[in-house]
Amino acid sequence: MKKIAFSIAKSRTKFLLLLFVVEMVVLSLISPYFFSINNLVQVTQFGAALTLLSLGESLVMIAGRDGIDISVGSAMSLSGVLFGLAVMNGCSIFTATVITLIGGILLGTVNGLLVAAAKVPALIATLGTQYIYGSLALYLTGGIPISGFPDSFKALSLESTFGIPNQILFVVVPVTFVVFILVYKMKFGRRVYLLGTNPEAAKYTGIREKQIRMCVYMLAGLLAAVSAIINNSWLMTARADAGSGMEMQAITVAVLGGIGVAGGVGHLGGVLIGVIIITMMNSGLQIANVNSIWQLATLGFILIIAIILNHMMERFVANVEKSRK
Amino acid sequence: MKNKFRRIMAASLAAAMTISMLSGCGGTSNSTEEEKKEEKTETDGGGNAESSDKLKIAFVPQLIGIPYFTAMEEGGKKAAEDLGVEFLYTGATQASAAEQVKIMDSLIKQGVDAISLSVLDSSSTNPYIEKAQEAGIPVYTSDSDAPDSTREFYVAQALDEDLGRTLMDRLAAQIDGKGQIGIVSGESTATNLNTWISFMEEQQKEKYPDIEIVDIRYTQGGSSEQALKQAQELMTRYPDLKGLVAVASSTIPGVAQAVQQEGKAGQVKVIGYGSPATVKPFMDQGVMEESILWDAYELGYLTVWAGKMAAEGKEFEEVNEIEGISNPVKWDAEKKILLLGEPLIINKDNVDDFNF
Repeated sequence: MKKIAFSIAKSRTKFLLLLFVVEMVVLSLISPYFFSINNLVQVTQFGAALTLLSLGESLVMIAGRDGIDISVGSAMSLSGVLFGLAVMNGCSIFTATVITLIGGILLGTVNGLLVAAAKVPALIATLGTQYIYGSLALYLTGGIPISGFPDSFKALSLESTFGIPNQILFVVVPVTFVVFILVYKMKFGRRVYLLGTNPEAAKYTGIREKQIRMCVYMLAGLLAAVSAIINNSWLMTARADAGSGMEMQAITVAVLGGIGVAGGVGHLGGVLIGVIIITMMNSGLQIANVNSIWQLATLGFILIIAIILNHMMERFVANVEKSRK
Repeated sequence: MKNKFRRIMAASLAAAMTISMLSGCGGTSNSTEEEKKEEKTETDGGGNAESSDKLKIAFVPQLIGIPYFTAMEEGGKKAAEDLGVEFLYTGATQASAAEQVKIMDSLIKQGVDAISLSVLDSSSTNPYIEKAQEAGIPVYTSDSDAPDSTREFYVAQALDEDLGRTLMDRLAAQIDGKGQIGIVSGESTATNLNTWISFMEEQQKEKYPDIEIVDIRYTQGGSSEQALKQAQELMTRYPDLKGLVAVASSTIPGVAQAVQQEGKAGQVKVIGYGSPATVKPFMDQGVMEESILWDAYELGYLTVWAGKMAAEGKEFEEVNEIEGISNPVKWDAEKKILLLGEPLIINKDNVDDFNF
């Protein structure tokens, strides 16, 4: 029992798992409709875009030097608009997807160049590009949402296979898998973490900081583009404001998931559970017909309570261990 | 000694964890219970708290927290009370098709007996209308339609044609049937707004050759600030502008303010589809003379009434006399439109008679 308590206190991921269980119990008590496997699986579709965005966001934060990417929301909007325009101008879904993914990487590259090469602080650089990407998206659409995708495009986000939403089964799960391999099984990931923990030491071990940092931003842009395509299929519309506010949600989830703002700290697994917690909560409160005004407040509440609790427990464990020595 | 210390520590850690879990969990359940209570008063048809056997009629507004939809909610609640059904009024704080989709999904899962919605972007909500129908739930539109969807019927506030033509007639009367006018609308995908605009244009072409519609501007989510900017721009670009139409209710404050800031109150006539509460200050200031609308309270009432009929699988009569609604309600079986009535013209004299 003690051991379990200690390990929960020490790891944000385990702590979040506990929080998740508590949340499930509470939500099931509120509404009898919530807790069914079918519902739980179907609900994941609402977290699809957020999962990808927050993975990108988390990597940027892990890579340190106050890394943050405020432009992911706008990048998602703009890539979504690119996709819409491509399809409307006669491209096939496949070609449009390729164009959009390249577009997403380019948007990330701009961020990367600004932060890694031009040494603009990440907060300012991506705040700037957030506005630029958002404006471009608005300009390209003239503020008019693009709809009229071919009906077959629904297959991506509005249909399920084996009861699992397609965008989760065929996009989010494989992409997450690849990202995890990249980060936790390959040199790239170790370099990102080292860069975040100690950039000076990283330099002396021969890690090319610029390159890694560029890659991290490009990855965030690419993931934003993927989430844009999923979102387009889900709403069957490309909107210039599709991603507005998503950057804040992504940052919220990353922080909840245990990613340290200073860099080098946290595990993407925690972020995934963070996404699930937030998505389940929104859906659960919705099913219980809780006024959506309160849903936002509950989100803030959970974020703050979770972080405070976790910190308290961490400190406690640290004290115990110290006194043991 | 050391052992004892460890034991104490472990015990207090366990205690701390329990407390923290309790506080965490208690905190959420407290707040949710409160919400639940609030929700209950909101969803209850005024009857008993245990209302699971009552028919559940849901309405998804475009957004919540604005007087117009609150008036519909009030009307719906009254109808639920009168008819003995449960009324679920669930919307998001922002006008967003994505949020509407999420809400519809949750309503389907709750297995409500009928879903009505005010459509924001039909391409996004149409697939979910089909999903609900696959689950055996009748879906109908109210307030804003999606004619290209599989919805069962549309509860219309007034015929779009009447609304569009009436507005043009009233504006023409104000500017003596000649001069340039500009239009500021809400979201460019909002089907209701677009239809009204097209009938305004038709009426202008047929009856007022001396009136020129110079431009139609759109604002995202019908934002007031954007409306203000668009109206300013229109007045700058067309200095002889005689009238401005604020199509979306939410754009009225922006457009009216723009006219006032330019000092052109009375010179540039503002008209639109605004609720009495929205237009009252501008009528008092002399920026607006008239507003065209309908009784949102009665529309809410009719929405719930129609939902009960749909849930019970009953057909509408050609003319329905409904207690709680002042005028008889017509049913157009061909277009599948349930019509509340004629447009309501709001002016200085009757603006105080409504509370939305």
